[in-house]
Amino acid sequence: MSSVTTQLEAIHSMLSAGHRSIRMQRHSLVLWGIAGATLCLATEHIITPARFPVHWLRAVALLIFLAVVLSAVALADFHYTRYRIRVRDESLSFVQEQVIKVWWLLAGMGILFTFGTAFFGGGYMVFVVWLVLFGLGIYIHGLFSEEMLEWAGVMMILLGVAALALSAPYRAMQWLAASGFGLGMPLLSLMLDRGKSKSVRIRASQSALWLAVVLVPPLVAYQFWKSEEPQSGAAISLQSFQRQADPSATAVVAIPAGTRIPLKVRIAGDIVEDRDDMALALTLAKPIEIFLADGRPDGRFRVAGGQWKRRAQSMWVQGVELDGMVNPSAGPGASLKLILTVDH
Amino acid sequence: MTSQSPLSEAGLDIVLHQPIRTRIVAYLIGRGEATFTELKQTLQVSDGNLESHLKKLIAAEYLTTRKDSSNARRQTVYSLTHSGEAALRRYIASLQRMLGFDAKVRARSSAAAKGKLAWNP
Repeated sequence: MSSVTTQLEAIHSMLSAGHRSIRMQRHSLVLWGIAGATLCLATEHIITPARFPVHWLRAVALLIFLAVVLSAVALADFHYTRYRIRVRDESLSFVQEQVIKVWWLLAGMGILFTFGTAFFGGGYMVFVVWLVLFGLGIYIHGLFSEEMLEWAGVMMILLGVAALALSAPYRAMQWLAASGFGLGMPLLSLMLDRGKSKSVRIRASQSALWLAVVLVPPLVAYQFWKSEEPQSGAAISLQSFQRQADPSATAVVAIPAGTRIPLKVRIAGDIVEDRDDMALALTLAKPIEIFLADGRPDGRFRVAGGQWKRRAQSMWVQGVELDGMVNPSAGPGASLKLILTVDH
Repeated sequence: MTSQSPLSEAGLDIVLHQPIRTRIVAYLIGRGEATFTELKQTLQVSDGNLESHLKKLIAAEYLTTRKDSSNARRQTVYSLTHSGEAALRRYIASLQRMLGFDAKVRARSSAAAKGKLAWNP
């Protein structure tokens, strides 16, 4: 009786081992992780508007750049994985080959999504999408190999979804994705244990450690960066700034409430020509201070003596509505409505 | 394809009714194919031990081998044949039948024991 049960248990255990027999190679995690982090941080400095002034050309350059870099990583990983497997006298199983194809497919989807954002919008989500796609790839691999990969894959997906749900600033998302790839994936490679079954408590502890390593550095860096105060002494008034001899000085300029600021608007498109400079007058409701580095605003500002902010992270344009009309008395007309929110 | 392997007195396939050979066949059903090194790592057995069991499974035509020519070292890759797969299914069915029979006997014994206790507290 007991020998029958033991035999059946052994068969069940080996069937399970056979189904989860593929191995995530440590070098794959390191290679893809470092490549992902580098792309997150460096792409915006390589594919710049200065290098590619035409919009569609910049999008194509981005597509080619991502495709070339990720294809090179995929090829290097594929060949090195085969080499390592041969050295260890192992074989690349059918399931592993299919999982590799799924991984490439997910990377391809990421490239196409990134390219598509240049034409259809959604660039705000680009890092989250990459994080979710890599998380999905790791999770799928984990289904056929190791528990830890399943946990890490789910955490990467949740990180991405949470960042989006909490409307995390673009820069924070960029650093979070870079951390998930550059720190999280190499750390995951150290956590692999050849598919050993461990209790939920141990897996949860490992996951908490992984999450801490991935979350803390970008959050701390972002908080520091966001509230970094300009080192330029006391603010000068707008009148003093306008009187000063050196226009390229570094200074903080205080602009009082009630100041009228001309907003230049240029609109071009399929059926309109960008010919006339329009200027709309905005009136400041609250005093603001703007930091000028070498005579140019570097994006840092503060409202009514509050905390210093970065323009790119604190100003939102939402709810853009464009409407057209024609009536006999006034002729053709158009109205544009948008909401400018400043987080101060 | 070979005919069914001889059966033991209990009606079990004598080639499969050995823990290491059962585990090899069960592992290969899940994985598809594996090299000698992979089998050795998974089963945690010595080279000689594994080799002798693999030879028996190949002789029973439960396993087949192929040489992987993509590698200069030409690894031998083992996979299950249709008869090997069918044999494992028959073997599992036999074990389950035995387990069901044993369970019924135990249930009867247990009921009888309870009855005895009830009559003689």
